[in-house]
Amino acid sequence: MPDLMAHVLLAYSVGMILSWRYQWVDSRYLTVMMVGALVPDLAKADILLDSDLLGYAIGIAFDWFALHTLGGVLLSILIGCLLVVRTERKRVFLLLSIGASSHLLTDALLITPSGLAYPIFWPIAYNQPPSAGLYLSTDVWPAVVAGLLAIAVTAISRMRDEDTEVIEFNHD
Amino acid sequence: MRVASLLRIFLIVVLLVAQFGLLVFFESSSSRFEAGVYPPIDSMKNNYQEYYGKNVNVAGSVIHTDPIIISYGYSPENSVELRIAGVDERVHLGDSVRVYGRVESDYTIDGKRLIKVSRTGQFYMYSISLLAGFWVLGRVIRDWKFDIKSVGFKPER
Repeated sequence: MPDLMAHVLLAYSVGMILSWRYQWVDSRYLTVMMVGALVPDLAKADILLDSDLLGYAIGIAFDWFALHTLGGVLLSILIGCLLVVRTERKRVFLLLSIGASSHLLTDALLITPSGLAYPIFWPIAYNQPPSAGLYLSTDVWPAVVAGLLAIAVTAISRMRDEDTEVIEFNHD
Repeated sequence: MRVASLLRIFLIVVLLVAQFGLLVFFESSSSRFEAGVYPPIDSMKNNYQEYYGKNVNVAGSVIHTDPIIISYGYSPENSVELRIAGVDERVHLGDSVRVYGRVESDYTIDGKRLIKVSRTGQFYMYSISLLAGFWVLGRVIRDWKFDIKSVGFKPER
């Protein structure tokens, strides 16, 4: 997926579908999944703080893109879990992981000049899997598709909620 | 402050240090990536010969169309001009492009593929991404609060 809105809408949709099976996934936890979808793009800090310039200034070369790989995402999620109270950590870890994973996987479908995706599993592996080359990060249509999916899933959720209310009414 | 909270803060600091370690490690191991990386601009300017024969990704604005020359870098003060050979794409002055190719002598990239990125597309991408960020931030403020006693975020009832 290209832009952040597409990532967030996809995470929202996945979360809504999960809520059909797991009732504890309410709006608050949906938010956590959407935050997870943002996590890999912490690497975009490069836009504000150029790693080349900053690395030169502090005398240590580094690359923000590590935050967009398995290793960087995992550490970011662990930090996120430590920011919440103990009773919420398992759920937050799970939901942040699902949200972040959806981002990593859909970014591996981007069109790239080399035809290969980024090293998604780093530091475990240095491989760059072939990219499906479906879209550019500047394309509009992925966000449109994700938006339509979110609308459809929301509508289905509402219908399911109404059905549940009818069943409960009939039981009374 | 309770011991558990202090321990948590300590762990967060450890993880942040580990995170920075990963950023440094990623940069140092970038030569092991198959499809090349975006070389640091300073390195391209001052140690260009290190990249001879290597496949790299570069990106920048087109400053000359025939031959194609791009300015690789984020700012005029910190950029290097690279000639892109071997691609058939038609480009215009000011186009943003991404190129994958092999580094040849004399600041030339033997391009295997060139992708143009439209300015409208970039504007859209940054705008919609900012909107998404604000949307999620709004939801976090609405749904989660920081509990001083527990020193952590918890969901709003």
